Order: sequence, then structure tokens, then C-alpha cells
Amino acid sequence: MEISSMSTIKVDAIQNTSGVEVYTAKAWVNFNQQGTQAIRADGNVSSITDGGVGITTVSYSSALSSANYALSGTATNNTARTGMIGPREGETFGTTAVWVHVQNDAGTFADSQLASLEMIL
Amino acid sequence: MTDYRVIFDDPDALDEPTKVLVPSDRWMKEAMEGNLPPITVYWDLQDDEQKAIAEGRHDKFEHDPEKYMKQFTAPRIGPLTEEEAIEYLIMKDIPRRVWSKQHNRPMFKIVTKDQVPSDRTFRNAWRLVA
Repeated sequence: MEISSMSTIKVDAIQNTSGVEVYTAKAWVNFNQQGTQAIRADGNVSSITDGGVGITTVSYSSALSSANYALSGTATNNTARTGMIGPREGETFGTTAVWVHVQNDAGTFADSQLASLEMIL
Repeated sequence: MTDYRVIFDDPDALDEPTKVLVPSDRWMKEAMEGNLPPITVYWDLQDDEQKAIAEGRHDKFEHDPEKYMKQFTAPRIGPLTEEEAIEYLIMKDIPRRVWSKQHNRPMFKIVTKDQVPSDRTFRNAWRLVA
């Protein structure tokens, strides 16, 4: 099938030719925590909130339908190995926003100059 | 696209550092082109989720499909100015306890990007000056 001259396709689900559903990111963001935190690019994100060293809350433009989505992220830092960590202990993923932090290999919160997240549902 | 930022303190977590909200350029464009639903659509979703958290059932939480779809189907509110878009974003992305109640000092301020320190030394000690 070929589609042309169309900018938006609205469907409930996408399947491959074998009938297997294709899952897409419901939101994603690429951001910088160093200096003044800034969004480089995003999809379905209305804002990020700098909550302190290594801490960012990502708010969604449109809420996700369920709290049981998958969140993955990466973070790099000029001075130490870092990793992206999900919500606070005991918390689940929010459907309107999610709190994340970056930690270095010493277990200390650290700002990342290149952090990214994607949410799949 | 926008140079506005919102700095705020959370009255329920005053020991935490002052927070800085950074708008998405893509979202600002949507807001200024008039593609947003009434803010109450988001508040309804937030209320339902907060209730689920309070009742200890957030791990299985799913939004009511009708309320969820209103994000996409509710009549749009029309184009906003840049300032109106920031005010809308405050009401959407900053906890209501920050801006809807009277406190004995300002809990948030709209500032420009160049008013936010870029030196993050002592970042965890930042406080909002009244």
C-alpha cells in the first residue's frame, strides 16, 4: 500500500503483514540537565521540570491511558559514567508525568548533558 | 521558541530545592495554534490518578476511556498568546497546591531563561526569593 499527500494517519492499532501489533513510543524526549536544563527535541512532552541535581520530571502533552507502560532511558556525563533511574522508591509511572533521576557509578545524583527517555505502551 | 521559565517551590516539600519548569517548544506551538482542550480535561485525569494513588491501586491504574479520549475530542479552546500558554502550562504541569492556594510568600514566579542561574554549583540549595 502506498500513501501519499497525507500528513497524519489516525488508526487504533498498527499491525505488520503477519498480524503482529507494532508498538510505538507514546512519548519521548532528549534533554540536557547541565547548566539551565533544556529540551533538545520531544514528542508528546509539554515540559520538563528541573528538580535539583540529576532530577527531572517529564510532563506529557497528552496523558497516557495506563500507568503500566515501559520506560527506558539513557544518560551520559562528561566526567563519570551515568545511568537513568526511574521513579522514586515505591512509586509507579505517572500517566501525566514521570519523575526520573540520573545517577553516576558512585551512586551519586549527577547532571547529564545528554539524557533521553522513551515511553512505550 | 519561548524564553519563559517557571520557578516554583512545592509547599508540601519545602526542604527540596526550587524547581524550574522548562516548556517544550513543540507544545508551545500547539498551544499558540489553538490545539489544546479545556484545562479541566487534564484536571479530571489528574484527579482520577491521584485518587487511585491514595487508594493504593495505582499499579493497575488505567484511565476511564471516555475521559481519556476527551484530550483529543473535546472542542479546542483556540489560539493562546505566549503568556497565556505559559499560564495554561502552569495549571497543567505544576501541582495545584503550588498555585491555587494562598501562601505566606509567593510559591512560583514566571521568569525569563536568562534569569535562571546556569551555574549549578549548590543547585540543591536553590531557594525562591520572595
